[in-house]
Amino acid sequence: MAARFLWASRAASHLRISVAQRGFASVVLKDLKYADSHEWVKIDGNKATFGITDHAQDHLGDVVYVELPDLGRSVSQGESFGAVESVKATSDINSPVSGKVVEVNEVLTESPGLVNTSPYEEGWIIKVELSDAGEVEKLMDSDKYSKFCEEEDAKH
Amino acid sequence: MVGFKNRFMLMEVYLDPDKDLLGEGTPVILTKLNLSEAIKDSILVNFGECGLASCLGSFHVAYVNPVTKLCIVRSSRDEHRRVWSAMTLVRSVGNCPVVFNLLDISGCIRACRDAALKCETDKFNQSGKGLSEEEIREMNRKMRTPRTLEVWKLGTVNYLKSLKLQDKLVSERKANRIPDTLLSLQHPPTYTLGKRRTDHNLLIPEAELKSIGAELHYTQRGGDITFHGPHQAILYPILSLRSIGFGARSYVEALERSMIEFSSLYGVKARAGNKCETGVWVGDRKIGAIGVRISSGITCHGLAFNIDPDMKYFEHIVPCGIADKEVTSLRRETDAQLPSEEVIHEQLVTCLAKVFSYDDVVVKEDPSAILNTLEDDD
Repeated sequence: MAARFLWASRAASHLRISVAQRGFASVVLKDLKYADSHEWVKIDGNKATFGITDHAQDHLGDVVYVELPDLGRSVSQGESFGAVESVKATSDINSPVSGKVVEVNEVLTESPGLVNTSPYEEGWIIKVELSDAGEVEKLMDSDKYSKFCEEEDAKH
Repeated sequence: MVGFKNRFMLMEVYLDPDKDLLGEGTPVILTKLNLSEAIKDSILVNFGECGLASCLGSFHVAYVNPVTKLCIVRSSRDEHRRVWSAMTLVRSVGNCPVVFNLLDISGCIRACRDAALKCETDKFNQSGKGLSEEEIREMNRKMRTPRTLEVWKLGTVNYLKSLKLQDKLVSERKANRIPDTLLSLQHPPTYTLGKRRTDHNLLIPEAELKSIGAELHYTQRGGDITFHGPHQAILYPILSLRSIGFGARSYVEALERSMIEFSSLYGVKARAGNKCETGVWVGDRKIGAIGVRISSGITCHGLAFNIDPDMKYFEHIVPCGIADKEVTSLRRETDAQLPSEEVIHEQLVTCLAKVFSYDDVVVKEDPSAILNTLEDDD
Protein backbone atom coordinates (compact mmCIF):
# COMPACT_ATOMS: atom_id res chain seq x y z
CA MET A 1 0.00 0.00 0.00
CA ALA A 2 2.78 2.38 0.94
CA ALA A 3 4.67 1.66 -2.24
CA ARG A 4 1.56 2.48 -4.23
CA PHE A 5 1.26 5.85 -2.56
CA LEU A 6 4.90 6.57 -3.21
CA TRP A 7 4.38 5.80 -6.89
CA ALA A 8 1.27 7.96 -6.91
CA SER A 9 3.16 10.85 -5.24
CA ARG A 10 5.84 10.64 -7.88
CA ALA A 11 3.21 10.46 -10.61
CA ALA A 12 1.44 13.48 -9.16
CA SER A 13 4.61 15.54 -9.04
CA HIS A 14 5.59 14.43 -12.53
CA LEU A 15 2.21 15.55 -13.84
CA ARG A 16 2.77 18.79 -11.92
CA ILE A 17 -0.31 18.40 -9.81
CA SER A 18 0.29 20.03 -6.45
CA VAL A 19 2.20 17.77 -4.16
CA ALA A 20 2.76 18.74 -0.56
CA GLN A 21 6.37 19.85 -0.88
CA ARG A 22 7.33 21.17 2.49
CA GLY A 23 9.98 23.45 1.15
CA PHE A 24 11.23 24.63 4.48
CA ALA A 25 11.46 21.22 6.12
CA SER A 26 14.81 20.29 7.56
CA VAL A 27 17.25 18.05 5.73
CA VAL A 28 17.07 14.39 6.65
CA LEU A 29 19.61 12.03 5.08
CA LYS A 30 18.50 8.60 3.99
CA ASP A 31 21.32 6.34 5.12
CA LEU A 32 21.52 7.58 8.71
CA LYS A 33 19.69 6.57 11.85
CA TYR A 34 18.08 9.04 14.22
CA ALA A 35 17.35 9.40 17.92
CA ASP A 36 14.29 11.23 19.21
CA SER A 37 16.54 13.76 20.91
CA HIS A 38 17.60 14.85 17.41
CA GLU A 39 20.99 13.20 17.01
CA TRP A 40 22.04 11.29 13.87
CA VAL A 41 24.22 8.18 13.71
CA LYS A 42 26.25 6.77 10.84
CA ILE A 43 27.17 3.14 11.35
CA ASP A 44 30.38 1.84 9.78
CA GLY A 45 31.04 -1.74 10.87
CA ASN A 46 31.37 -1.48 14.61
CA LYS A 47 32.19 2.23 14.56
CA ALA A 48 29.54 4.93 14.79
CA THR A 49 29.81 8.62 14.05
CA PHE A 50 27.28 11.04 15.43
CA GLY A 51 26.21 14.63 15.52
CA ILE A 52 23.04 16.67 15.77
CA THR A 53 20.51 16.90 12.96
CA ASP A 54 19.61 19.84 10.76
CA HIS A 55 16.31 20.15 12.66
CA ALA A 56 18.22 20.42 15.94
CA GLN A 57 20.71 23.01 14.74
CA ASP A 58 17.90 25.08 13.27
CA HIS A 59 16.05 25.13 16.59
CA LEU A 60 19.20 25.88 18.55
CA GLY A 61 20.42 28.93 16.69
CA ASP A 62 24.07 29.80 16.11
CA VAL A 63 26.31 27.43 18.03
CA VAL A 64 29.11 29.26 19.82
CA TYR A 65 30.65 26.43 21.82
CA VAL A 66 30.72 22.63 21.79
CA GLU A 67 31.68 20.70 24.88
CA LEU A 68 33.43 17.51 23.77
CA PRO A 69 33.89 14.42 25.94
CA ASP A 70 37.31 12.93 26.70
CA LEU A 71 38.73 10.15 24.54
CA GLY A 72 38.20 6.70 25.97
CA ARG A 73 35.15 7.76 27.91
CA SER A 74 32.19 5.42 27.69
CA VAL A 75 28.78 6.66 26.65
CA SER A 76 25.38 4.99 26.96
CA GLN A 77 22.30 5.23 24.81
CA GLY A 78 20.09 8.11 25.89
CA GLU A 79 22.64 9.57 28.30
CA SER A 80 24.19 12.99 27.89
CA PHE A 81 27.85 13.08 26.80
CA GLY A 82 28.44 16.71 25.95
CA ALA A 83 26.72 19.98 25.26
CA VAL A 84 26.38 22.73 22.69
CA GLU A 85 25.99 26.37 23.58
CA SER A 86 24.00 28.75 21.44
CA VAL A 87 22.36 32.10 22.22
CA LYS A 88 23.05 31.90 25.96
CA ALA A 89 21.54 28.41 26.18
CA THR A 90 23.54 25.25 26.73
CA SER A 91 21.76 22.14 25.48
CA ASP A 92 22.86 18.64 26.39
CA ILE A 93 23.63 16.22 23.57
CA ASN A 94 22.51 12.67 24.25
CA SER A 95 24.26 9.61 22.91
CA PRO A 96 22.12 7.62 20.44
CA VAL A 97 24.10 4.42 21.10
CA SER A 98 26.41 3.00 23.76
CA GLY A 99 30.12 2.63 23.25
CA LYS A 100 33.57 4.06 23.87
CA VAL A 101 34.67 7.40 22.50
CA VAL A 102 37.52 6.86 20.04
CA GLU A 103 37.62 10.19 18.25
CA VAL A 104 36.27 13.70 18.80
CA ASN A 105 36.00 16.48 16.27
CA GLU A 106 38.59 18.91 17.62
CA VAL A 107 37.84 21.33 14.76
CA LEU A 108 34.61 22.23 16.55
CA THR A 109 36.57 23.90 19.36
CA GLU A 110 37.81 26.49 16.89
CA SER A 111 34.80 26.49 14.58
CA PRO A 112 31.65 25.57 16.48
CA GLY A 113 29.60 27.09 13.65
CA LEU A 114 30.25 23.97 11.56
CA VAL A 115 27.44 22.33 13.52
CA ASN A 116 25.07 24.81 11.91
CA THR A 117 26.50 24.96 8.40
CA SER A 118 27.31 21.28 7.97
CA PRO A 119 25.54 19.23 10.64
CA TYR A 120 25.92 15.89 8.84
CA GLU A 121 29.43 16.23 7.46
CA GLU A 122 32.00 18.60 8.91
CA GLY A 123 29.88 19.18 12.01
CA TRP A 124 30.19 15.58 13.25
CA ILE A 125 30.81 15.53 16.95
CA ILE A 126 32.25 12.20 18.08
CA LYS A 127 33.06 8.70 16.86
CA VAL A 128 32.53 5.72 19.14
CA GLU A 129 33.23 2.01 19.08
CA LEU A 130 29.84 0.33 19.46
CA SER A 131 29.39 -1.86 22.50
CA ASP A 132 25.99 -3.21 21.50
CA ALA A 133 25.09 -3.29 17.80
CA GLY A 134 21.51 -4.29 18.69
CA GLU A 135 20.80 -0.82 20.05
CA VAL A 136 20.70 0.57 16.53
CA GLU A 137 17.33 -1.17 16.11
CA LYS A 138 15.81 1.21 18.65
CA LEU A 139 16.63 4.23 16.49
CA MET A 140 14.43 5.75 13.79
CA ASP A 141 15.13 5.61 10.08
CA SER A 142 14.97 8.72 7.93
CA ASP A 143 11.25 8.45 7.08
CA LYS A 144 10.20 7.92 10.68
CA TYR A 145 12.42 10.75 11.81
CA SER A 146 11.01 13.15 9.19
CA LYS A 147 7.52 12.35 10.39
CA PHE A 148 8.62 12.77 14.01
CA CYS A 149 9.96 16.25 13.26
CA GLU A 150 6.76 17.16 11.46
CA GLU A 151 4.66 16.05 14.42
CA GLU A 152 6.83 18.04 16.80
CA ASP A 153 6.67 21.17 14.69
CA ALA A 154 2.91 20.87 14.26
CA LYS A 155 2.46 21.06 18.01
CA HIS A 156 2.35 24.81 18.00
CA MET B 1 7.77 33.29 8.89
CA VAL B 2 5.24 30.68 7.79
CA GLY B 3 6.64 28.69 4.90
CA PHE B 4 3.97 26.08 4.69
CA LYS B 5 0.26 26.82 4.97
CA ASN B 6 -2.12 24.36 6.58
CA ARG B 7 -5.80 24.31 7.20
CA PHE B 8 -7.24 22.73 10.31
CA MET B 9 -10.84 21.58 10.02
CA LEU B 10 -13.01 20.97 13.01
CA MET B 11 -15.62 18.36 12.11
CA GLU B 12 -18.49 16.84 13.96
CA VAL B 13 -19.32 13.23 13.15
CA TYR B 14 -22.96 12.14 13.33
CA LEU B 15 -23.11 8.40 13.90
CA ASP B 16 -26.00 6.46 12.44
CA PRO B 17 -28.06 9.56 11.54
CA ASP B 18 -30.93 7.58 10.05
CA LYS B 19 -31.05 5.13 12.88
CA ASP B 20 -30.36 2.23 10.55
CA LEU B 21 -28.47 0.16 13.06
CA LEU B 22 -30.35 -1.56 15.77
CA GLY B 23 -29.06 -2.03 19.24
CA GLU B 24 -28.03 0.25 22.03
CA GLY B 25 -24.84 1.99 22.85
CA THR B 26 -22.38 3.60 20.49
CA PRO B 27 -22.17 1.67 17.23
CA VAL B 28 -18.51 2.48 16.60
CA ILE B 29 -15.74 4.01 18.67
CA LEU B 30 -14.10 6.78 16.69
CA THR B 31 -10.34 6.60 16.65
CA LYS B 32 -7.67 8.45 14.69
CA LEU B 33 -7.01 5.30 12.73
CA ASN B 34 -10.52 4.45 11.60
CA LEU B 35 -11.38 8.06 10.78
CA SER B 36 -8.17 8.46 8.85
CA GLU B 37 -8.81 5.25 6.88
CA ALA B 38 -12.39 6.26 6.10
CA ILE B 39 -11.35 9.70 4.84
CA LYS B 40 -8.48 8.34 2.78
CA ASP B 41 -10.77 5.76 1.19
CA SER B 42 -13.19 8.52 0.31
CA ILE B 43 -10.45 10.62 -1.29
CA LEU B 44 -9.31 7.56 -3.25
CA VAL B 45 -12.80 6.80 -4.51
CA ASN B 46 -13.67 10.37 -5.42
CA PHE B 47 -10.36 11.81 -6.55
CA GLY B 48 -8.36 8.80 -7.63
CA GLU B 49 -4.88 7.72 -6.67
CA CYS B 50 -3.35 10.94 -7.85
CA GLY B 51 -5.78 12.96 -5.76
CA LEU B 52 -5.03 10.83 -2.74
CA ALA B 53 -1.28 11.11 -3.24
CA SER B 54 -1.37 14.87 -3.47
CA CYS B 55 -3.38 15.15 -0.24
CA LEU B 56 -1.47 12.52 1.68
CA GLY B 57 1.59 14.58 2.49
CA SER B 58 -0.10 16.87 4.94
CA PHE B 59 -3.21 14.92 5.76
CA HIS B 60 -3.35 14.06 9.42
CA VAL B 61 -6.10 13.48 11.93
CA ALA B 62 -4.82 15.58 14.78
CA TYR B 63 -7.47 15.00 17.40
CA VAL B 64 -10.46 12.75 17.93
CA ASN B 65 -12.84 12.74 20.85
CA PRO B 66 -14.98 9.60 20.74
CA VAL B 67 -17.35 10.95 23.39
CA THR B 68 -18.22 14.32 21.84
CA LYS B 69 -17.64 13.01 18.28
CA LEU B 70 -15.47 15.97 17.35
CA CYS B 71 -12.32 15.67 15.33
CA ILE B 72 -9.68 18.02 13.98
CA VAL B 73 -8.17 17.20 10.62
CA ARG B 74 -5.12 18.90 9.16
CA SER B 75 -4.57 19.38 5.47
CA SER B 76 -2.37 21.61 3.37
CA ARG B 77 -4.06 24.81 2.25
CA ASP B 78 -3.78 23.83 -1.39
CA GLU B 79 -5.57 20.54 -0.87
CA HIS B 80 -8.00 21.32 1.88
CA ARG B 81 -11.04 21.73 -0.36
CA ARG B 82 -10.41 18.29 -1.77
CA VAL B 83 -10.11 16.78 1.68
CA TRP B 84 -13.19 18.68 2.85
CA SER B 85 -15.28 17.41 -0.07
CA ALA B 86 -14.07 13.90 0.49
CA MET B 87 -15.00 14.07 4.15
CA THR B 88 -18.47 15.30 3.29
CA LEU B 89 -18.83 12.31 0.99
CA VAL B 90 -17.79 9.75 3.61
CA ARG B 91 -20.71 7.38 4.02
CA SER B 92 -19.50 5.08 6.74
CA VAL B 93 -16.81 4.47 9.30
CA GLY B 94 -16.43 0.76 9.85
CA ASN B 95 -19.95 -0.64 9.68
CA CYS B 96 -21.63 2.45 10.96
CA PRO B 97 -23.22 5.01 8.64
CA VAL B 98 -21.88 8.50 9.37
CA VAL B 99 -22.28 12.08 8.26
CA PHE B 100 -19.53 14.66 8.65
CA ASN B 101 -20.37 18.25 9.42
CA LEU B 102 -17.79 21.03 9.26
CA LEU B 103 -17.87 23.32 12.27
CA ASP B 104 -14.80 25.47 11.85
CA ILE B 105 -11.78 25.89 9.64
CA SER B 106 -8.65 27.84 10.47
CA GLY B 107 -5.01 28.27 9.61
CA CYS B 108 -3.55 27.35 12.96
CA ILE B 109 -4.16 24.51 15.35
CA ARG B 110 -4.61 26.93 18.21
CA ALA B 111 -7.75 28.58 16.84
CA CYS B 112 -9.17 25.19 15.97
CA ARG B 113 -8.41 23.87 19.40
CA ASP B 114 -10.17 26.83 21.01
CA ALA B 115 -13.24 26.26 18.83
CA ALA B 116 -13.19 22.56 19.69
CA LEU B 117 -12.98 23.30 23.38
CA LYS B 118 -15.92 25.67 23.13
CA CYS B 119 -18.03 23.09 21.28
CA GLU B 120 -17.14 20.37 23.70
CA THR B 121 -17.89 22.52 26.73
CA ASP B 122 -21.29 23.42 25.25
CA LYS B 123 -22.05 19.77 24.56
CA PHE B 124 -20.93 18.76 27.99
CA ASN B 125 -23.04 21.45 29.61
CA GLN B 126 -26.10 20.51 27.57
CA SER B 127 -26.03 16.81 28.10
CA GLY B 128 -23.88 16.48 31.19
CA LYS B 129 -26.54 14.53 32.97
CA GLY B 130 -26.96 12.18 30.03
CA LEU B 131 -23.35 10.98 29.91
CA SER B 132 -22.31 7.92 31.84
CA GLU B 133 -19.60 8.14 34.48
CA GLU B 134 -17.14 6.46 32.19
CA GLU B 135 -17.86 8.81 29.32
CA ILE B 136 -17.37 11.84 31.56
CA ARG B 137 -14.03 10.49 32.75
CA GLU B 138 -12.99 9.77 29.18
CA MET B 139 -13.92 13.28 28.12
CA ASN B 140 -12.03 14.95 30.92
CA ARG B 141 -9.06 12.93 29.90
CA LYS B 142 -9.38 13.82 26.23
CA MET B 143 -10.17 17.49 26.68
CA ARG B 144 -6.92 19.30 26.57
CA THR B 145 -5.72 19.99 30.07
CA PRO B 146 -5.13 23.72 30.43
CA ARG B 147 -1.47 24.64 30.66
CA THR B 148 -0.61 25.63 34.17
CA LEU B 149 2.47 27.38 35.46
CA GLU B 150 3.32 26.82 39.09
CA VAL B 151 5.14 29.79 40.62
CA TRP B 152 7.43 29.50 43.64
CA LYS B 153 8.02 32.84 45.37
CA LEU B 154 11.26 32.28 47.21
CA GLY B 155 12.57 35.64 48.41
CA THR B 156 16.37 35.80 48.71
CA VAL B 157 18.08 32.47 48.15
CA ASN B 158 21.73 31.50 48.33
CA TYR B 159 23.01 30.63 44.85
CA LEU B 160 24.18 27.09 45.58
CA LYS B 161 20.89 26.26 47.23
CA SER B 162 19.02 27.50 44.21
CA LEU B 163 21.20 25.27 41.99
CA LYS B 164 20.35 22.25 44.15
CA LEU B 165 16.68 23.10 44.04
CA GLN B 166 16.77 23.48 40.27
CA ASP B 167 18.53 20.12 39.82
CA LYS B 168 15.84 18.47 41.90
CA LEU B 169 13.01 20.18 40.02
CA VAL B 170 14.52 19.36 36.62
CA SER B 171 14.46 15.61 37.43
CA GLU B 172 10.93 15.92 38.77
CA ARG B 173 9.81 17.74 35.62
CA LYS B 174 11.54 15.22 33.39
CA ALA B 175 9.66 12.41 35.16
CA ASN B 176 6.46 14.46 34.73
CA ARG B 177 5.84 14.52 38.48
CA ILE B 178 5.49 18.28 38.53
CA PRO B 179 4.00 20.77 36.04
CA ASP B 180 5.98 23.58 34.40
CA THR B 181 7.46 25.49 37.33
CA LEU B 182 8.81 29.01 37.71
CA LEU B 183 11.11 30.11 40.52
CA SER B 184 10.89 33.83 41.35
CA LEU B 185 13.71 34.98 43.62
CA GLN B 186 16.74 37.15 44.29
CA HIS B 187 20.31 36.27 45.26
CA PRO B 188 22.75 37.79 47.72
CA PRO B 189 25.71 39.39 45.88
CA THR B 190 26.97 36.60 43.60
CA TYR B 191 29.08 36.45 40.45
CA THR B 192 28.44 33.49 38.19
CA LEU B 193 30.22 32.03 35.17
CA GLY B 194 28.78 29.92 32.38
CA LYS B 195 29.93 26.64 30.88
CA ARG B 196 32.73 28.31 28.97
CA ARG B 197 34.32 29.42 32.26
CA THR B 198 35.23 32.86 30.95
CA ASP B 199 36.87 33.92 34.19
CA HIS B 200 39.13 36.34 32.34
CA ASN B 201 36.09 38.62 32.43
CA LEU B 202 36.30 38.87 36.22
CA LEU B 203 38.41 41.99 36.79
CA ILE B 204 39.30 41.54 40.43
CA PRO B 205 41.09 38.57 41.97
CA GLU B 206 38.84 35.86 43.39
CA ALA B 207 40.33 36.35 46.81
CA GLU B 208 39.06 39.92 46.94
CA LEU B 209 35.45 38.89 46.37
CA LYS B 210 34.87 38.06 50.00
CA SER B 211 35.94 41.53 51.04
CA ILE B 212 33.23 43.08 48.87
CA GLY B 213 30.70 40.61 50.23
CA ALA B 214 30.26 38.50 47.12
CA GLU B 215 30.52 34.83 46.12
CA LEU B 216 31.66 33.29 42.83
CA HIS B 217 30.10 30.20 41.24
CA TYR B 218 30.81 28.17 38.11
CA THR B 219 27.69 26.83 36.41
CA GLN B 220 26.58 24.77 33.41
CA ARG B 221 24.41 27.46 31.93
CA GLY B 222 25.05 29.22 28.64
CA GLY B 223 26.33 32.78 28.57
CA ASP B 224 29.25 34.66 30.06
CA ILE B 225 29.97 36.18 33.48
CA THR B 226 27.24 38.07 35.27
CA PHE B 227 26.32 39.52 38.64
CA HIS B 228 23.25 38.76 40.73
CA GLY B 229 22.31 40.72 43.81
CA PRO B 230 19.57 42.32 45.86
CA HIS B 231 17.01 44.33 43.89
CA GLN B 232 17.53 42.27 40.79
CA ALA B 233 14.52 40.12 39.86
CA ILE B 234 15.45 36.58 38.89
CA LEU B 235 13.19 34.03 37.20
CA TYR B 236 14.21 30.41 36.72
CA PRO B 237 11.63 28.64 34.53
CA ILE B 238 11.76 24.84 34.78
CA LEU B 239 9.81 23.99 31.65
CA SER B 240 9.49 21.07 29.30
CA LEU B 241 10.42 22.54 25.92
CA ARG B 242 8.84 19.63 24.11
CA SER B 243 5.44 20.23 25.69
CA ILE B 244 5.48 23.92 24.80
CA GLY B 245 6.90 23.25 21.35
CA PHE B 246 9.96 25.50 21.61
CA GLY B 247 13.58 24.99 20.61
CA ALA B 248 16.49 26.65 22.41
CA ARG B 249 16.47 29.73 20.22
CA SER B 250 12.71 30.34 20.38
CA TYR B 251 12.80 29.79 24.14
CA VAL B 252 15.48 32.42 24.66
CA GLU B 253 13.59 34.81 22.37
CA ALA B 254 10.46 34.28 24.45
CA LEU B 255 12.42 35.10 27.63
CA GLU B 256 13.60 38.30 25.95
CA ARG B 257 10.02 39.18 24.96
CA SER B 258 8.86 38.63 28.54
CA MET B 259 11.34 41.21 29.80
CA ILE B 260 10.56 43.64 26.99
CA GLU B 261 6.85 43.37 27.73
CA PHE B 262 7.54 43.95 31.41
CA SER B 263 9.68 47.02 30.71
CA SER B 264 6.88 48.55 28.67
CA LEU B 265 4.69 48.56 31.78
CA TYR B 266 6.92 51.37 32.98
CA GLY B 267 7.20 53.09 29.65
CA VAL B 268 10.73 51.76 29.10
CA LYS B 269 11.36 50.89 25.46
CA ALA B 270 13.54 47.83 25.64
CA ARG B 271 14.70 45.68 22.74
CA ALA B 272 16.22 42.27 22.19
CA GLY B 273 19.97 42.09 21.71
CA ASN B 274 21.67 41.90 18.34
CA LYS B 275 23.45 38.76 17.24
CA CYS B 276 25.83 37.50 19.95
CA GLU B 277 24.39 40.07 22.37
CA THR B 278 21.51 38.06 23.80
CA GLY B 279 19.65 39.89 26.50
CA VAL B 280 17.43 42.90 26.81
CA TRP B 281 18.75 46.38 26.09
CA VAL B 282 17.58 49.96 26.44
CA GLY B 283 19.54 51.72 23.76
CA ASP B 284 23.12 50.58 24.36
CA ARG B 285 22.61 49.74 27.99
CA LYS B 286 21.81 46.23 29.20
CA ILE B 287 18.89 45.89 31.55
CA GLY B 288 18.17 42.17 31.43
CA ALA B 289 20.43 39.13 31.13
CA ILE B 290 19.73 35.56 30.07
CA GLY B 291 21.62 32.33 30.71
CA VAL B 292 19.92 29.00 30.25
CA ARG B 293 20.65 25.31 30.45
CA ILE B 294 18.60 22.69 28.63
CA SER B 295 18.99 19.11 29.72
CA SER B 296 16.85 16.39 28.11
CA GLY B 297 14.48 19.10 26.97
CA ILE B 298 13.97 20.61 30.45
CA THR B 299 15.11 24.18 31.05
CA CYS B 300 16.82 25.61 34.10
CA HIS B 301 18.57 28.85 35.01
CA GLY B 302 16.80 31.70 33.22
CA LEU B 303 16.72 35.46 33.32
CA ALA B 304 17.80 38.34 35.55
CA PHE B 305 16.22 41.78 35.32
CA ASN B 306 17.81 44.80 37.03
CA ILE B 307 15.27 46.67 39.11
CA ASP B 308 17.61 48.76 41.29
CA PRO B 309 20.75 46.76 42.14
CA ASP B 310 23.97 48.28 43.42
CA MET B 311 25.63 49.07 40.09
CA LYS B 312 29.13 49.27 41.60
CA TYR B 313 29.26 45.46 41.61
CA PHE B 314 29.09 45.47 37.81
CA GLU B 315 32.32 47.44 37.65
CA HIS B 316 34.29 44.37 38.69
CA ILE B 317 33.35 42.36 35.61
CA VAL B 318 33.04 42.68 31.87
CA PRO B 319 29.29 41.95 31.98
CA CYS B 320 28.38 39.06 29.68
CA GLY B 321 31.80 39.45 28.08
CA ILE B 322 30.67 42.52 26.16
CA ALA B 323 33.12 45.32 26.79
CA ASP B 324 32.26 49.03 26.58
CA LYS B 325 28.52 48.57 26.92
CA GLU B 326 26.86 49.87 30.05
CA VAL B 327 24.58 48.09 32.44
CA THR B 328 21.40 49.83 33.52
CA SER B 329 18.36 49.24 35.70
CA LEU B 330 14.65 49.98 35.76
CA ARG B 331 15.27 52.65 38.38
CA ARG B 332 17.68 54.44 36.06
CA GLU B 333 15.50 54.21 32.99
CA THR B 334 12.26 55.55 34.35
CA ASP B 335 11.11 58.39 36.59
CA ALA B 336 7.90 56.51 37.35
CA GLN B 337 7.12 55.63 40.93
CA LEU B 338 8.16 51.99 41.39
CA PRO B 339 5.82 49.80 43.44
CA SER B 340 7.07 47.32 46.03
CA GLU B 341 9.45 44.61 44.84
CA GLU B 342 6.85 41.95 45.49
CA VAL B 343 4.51 43.66 43.06
CA ILE B 344 7.30 44.07 40.51
CA HIS B 345 8.15 40.35 40.70
CA GLU B 346 4.50 39.47 40.22
CA GLN B 347 4.24 41.71 37.17
CA LEU B 348 7.34 40.09 35.66
CA VAL B 349 5.87 36.63 36.30
CA THR B 350 2.59 37.68 34.67
CA CYS B 351 4.41 38.94 31.58
CA LEU B 352 6.29 35.66 31.24
CA ALA B 353 3.09 33.62 31.69
CA LYS B 354 1.43 35.72 28.99
CA VAL B 355 4.30 35.38 26.50
CA PHE B 356 4.38 31.61 27.03
CA SER B 357 0.57 31.38 26.73
CA TYR B 358 -0.13 29.72 30.04
CA ASP B 359 -3.85 29.41 30.81
CA ASP B 360 -3.36 29.35 34.56
CA VAL B 361 -0.82 30.66 37.02
CA VAL B 362 -0.83 28.95 40.41
CA VAL B 363 1.25 30.13 43.33
CA LYS B 364 2.77 27.31 45.35
CA GLU B 365 1.99 27.26 49.04
CA ASP B 366 4.98 27.66 51.32
CA PRO B 367 7.81 26.80 48.91
CA SER B 368 10.48 27.70 51.46
CA ALA B 369 9.69 24.46 53.25
CA ILE B 370 11.20 22.58 50.30
CA LEU B 371 14.32 24.73 50.48
CA ASN B 372 14.80 23.76 54.10
CA THR B 373 14.56 20.06 53.32
CA LEU B 374 17.27 20.53 50.72
CA GLU B 375 19.58 21.73 53.45
CA ASP B 376 18.84 18.60 55.44
CA ASP B 377 19.78 16.40 52.50
CA ASP B 378 23.42 17.39 52.85
